[in-house]
Amino acid sequence: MKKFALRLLLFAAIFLIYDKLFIIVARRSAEAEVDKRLEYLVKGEINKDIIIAGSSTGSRDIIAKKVEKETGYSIYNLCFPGSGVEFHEFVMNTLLKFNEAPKLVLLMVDDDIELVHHAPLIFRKDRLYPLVQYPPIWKELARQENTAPYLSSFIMLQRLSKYNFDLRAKSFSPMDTVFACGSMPVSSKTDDRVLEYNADERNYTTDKELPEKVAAFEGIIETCQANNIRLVLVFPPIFSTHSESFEKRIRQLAGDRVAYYVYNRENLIYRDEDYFNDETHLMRDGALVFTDEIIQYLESEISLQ
Amino acid sequence: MQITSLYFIILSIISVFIYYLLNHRYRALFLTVLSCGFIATYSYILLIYVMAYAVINYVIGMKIPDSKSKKALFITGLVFNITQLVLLKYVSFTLNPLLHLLHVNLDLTIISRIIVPVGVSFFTMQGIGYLVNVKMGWEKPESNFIHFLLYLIFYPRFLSGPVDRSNKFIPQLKENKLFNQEKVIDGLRLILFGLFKKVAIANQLAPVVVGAYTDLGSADTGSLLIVLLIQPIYIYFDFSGYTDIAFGVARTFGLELRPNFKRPFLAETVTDFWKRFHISLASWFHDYVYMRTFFRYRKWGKNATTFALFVTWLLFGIWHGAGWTFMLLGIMQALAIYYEFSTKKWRNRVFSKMPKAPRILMGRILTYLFYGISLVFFFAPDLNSAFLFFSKLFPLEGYIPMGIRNEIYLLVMFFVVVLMTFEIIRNDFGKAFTRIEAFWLGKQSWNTIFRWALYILVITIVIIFNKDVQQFIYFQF
Repeated sequence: MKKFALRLLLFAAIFLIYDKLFIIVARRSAEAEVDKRLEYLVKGEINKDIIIAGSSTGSRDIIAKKVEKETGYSIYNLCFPGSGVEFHEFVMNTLLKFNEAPKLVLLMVDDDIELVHHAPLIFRKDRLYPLVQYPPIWKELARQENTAPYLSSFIMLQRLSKYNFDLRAKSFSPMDTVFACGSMPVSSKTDDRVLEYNADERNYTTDKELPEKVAAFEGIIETCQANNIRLVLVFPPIFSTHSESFEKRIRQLAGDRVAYYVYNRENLIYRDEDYFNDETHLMRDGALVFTDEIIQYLESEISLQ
Repeated sequence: MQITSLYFIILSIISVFIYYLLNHRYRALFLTVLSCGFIATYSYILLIYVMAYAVINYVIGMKIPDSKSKKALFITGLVFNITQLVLLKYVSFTLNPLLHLLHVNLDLTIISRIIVPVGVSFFTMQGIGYLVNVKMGWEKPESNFIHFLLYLIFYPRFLSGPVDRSNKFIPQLKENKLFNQEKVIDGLRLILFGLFKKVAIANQLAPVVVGAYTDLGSADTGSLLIVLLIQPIYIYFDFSGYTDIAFGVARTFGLELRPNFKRPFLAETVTDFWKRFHISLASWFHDYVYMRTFFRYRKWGKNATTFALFVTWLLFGIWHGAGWTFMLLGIMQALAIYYEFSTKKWRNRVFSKMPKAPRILMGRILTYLFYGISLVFFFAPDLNSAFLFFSKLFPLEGYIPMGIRNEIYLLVMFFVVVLMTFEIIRNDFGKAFTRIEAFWLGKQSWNTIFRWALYILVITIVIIFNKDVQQFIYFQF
């Protein structure tokens, strides 16, 4: 048995030396990323007055640069397409850990899928894996994968996944071009379907709500409160009637701890399919209109002095 | 605790050293403690439940040989085993509708919600098998409770089998196992091989198969055809991966479990397929249901065979779950086996004129396709979904690729081809396989270097792919 134990130790030693070679893969996969926002986040390079958080609706519908130019506040868009509220909570926590706290956060709320299972809105582990050379990232991934963090601390391979091995040079696609301000407006239609406005009343029920999503949503509110950050829950335009029952539920959860902004439902451009790429995302022209609404709201209702 | 986690593997390796350092009299106790700890990671209540279950079966087993009313005691044991299985697994299909009809406002699924009946179908089979063996006098009752408990809850096979036999497993616990380096290495190799099958193949195919059944409404014909073809591969690599890990862990402790797979996709008939796929369960049903039923109704002659066949496969289907889909799954197998049995002479006469190679190939393809089709009833959540699946297959139009052709899936298919090629070589080309085996087990240093390099490569793939953990399919049983 002693001989076997020694062989096992020798094998483990060789494996651990070989394992360290994968540091190169981790570095290379970070370099290959074109969307650097998460990297800026963990490096503490996002120190702004206002942060926009949320999923693709936030990244497409608000052009941060325009807001910055017209309000004078520094602003950055940290919305990630395909991300759910748990991911937004992670982004918020990381922001506060490594950067100066913003004065205001605009959290885009996805009507009416914010708190329920919706396949396209996930915790974007695929966006985190390329950045596993940063401890906060691999620690979060270990938490997400339910693996012991100490294994990741000394086994490099444990931090990596298949996402790290796509080392081809990446480039922005027309749909996913991140502007310097972090926003990702859509300039040419990517969805050829003829959109039909859904005028039906949509009734939201809490039956399908996921406790982990509700907890993450609560977590964002509490974090903002604890750090004296004003939080505005923004309901962006959709090509359908606004769900009053969903808004009511969100107001019930958040109460008066936050402010609310609901898009201008009287504006008829939000019933014109030319302004929408699909049912939930505005085209650039629509985003400019909605951004103006946000600017107006910030100037009239919010004072960050 | 996930048995594919690095944590589980490291704990298992440490346990092997402790196990062999212990006096052999305490080893079964050590494995029992480990198994209890393993079950407790799922639910403490389940652990208490399994202990109580073991005590009841132990007591009944001990009493049967000396009892004046052996049959009554045996039937009591059988009723107990089946009742607890029904209460934990089949309530929503059996008792709840009955209570609803009687206007009794009671939801019995609360029992399974409290107990979390993980592995219940497997340990119940073992419990019943033990009682039958004792009642028939094929085995003496086990007086050592620790040995009996370990037979029921041995942790590598607790979640998904293989379904063991008490007369094969318990005697191994009584032997003084000396440390055997070759066996331990062989066990570790099997664990690694099982992890590779599960993590690098089954887990990567899971989103394709499971995803299709989750959203059948929007799936297109081409996608469903691909799902139909790959679902046998998915279930095989998932389940045989688990089995390899269970075998590997048991072997490191010097214990052997019941075989569960023997290159099933090289079977030329459905009858042969079930002698190669989930062998431990199929042979359990053969020995304890088919043979018992056939024996009881043997006066019926040929009809006894047919009756026993359909009863066995119906129960086999129901064992997988409460639902019409699983019943149909079982009945489909029975029909195929009945067809093969009743047309054997005719088929032999017709196909014996064909050259051997295309005949074998045709048999294998047809068996594979039959299993693939019947698996629709395994994966579909209900009958409507299963029929929707088939209805979508027939309008053969709009073969839109489902995004399966990306690098990951091509890589997974490459792994499948490599492993299946080895299975074919092992089955059909004995000499070539012997040469490969000799090279693999060679004692030269470059053989060792080759082996270690391959181990490191497989460990790398397993760790990298072992993200986005997918549950084992048979975990639900």
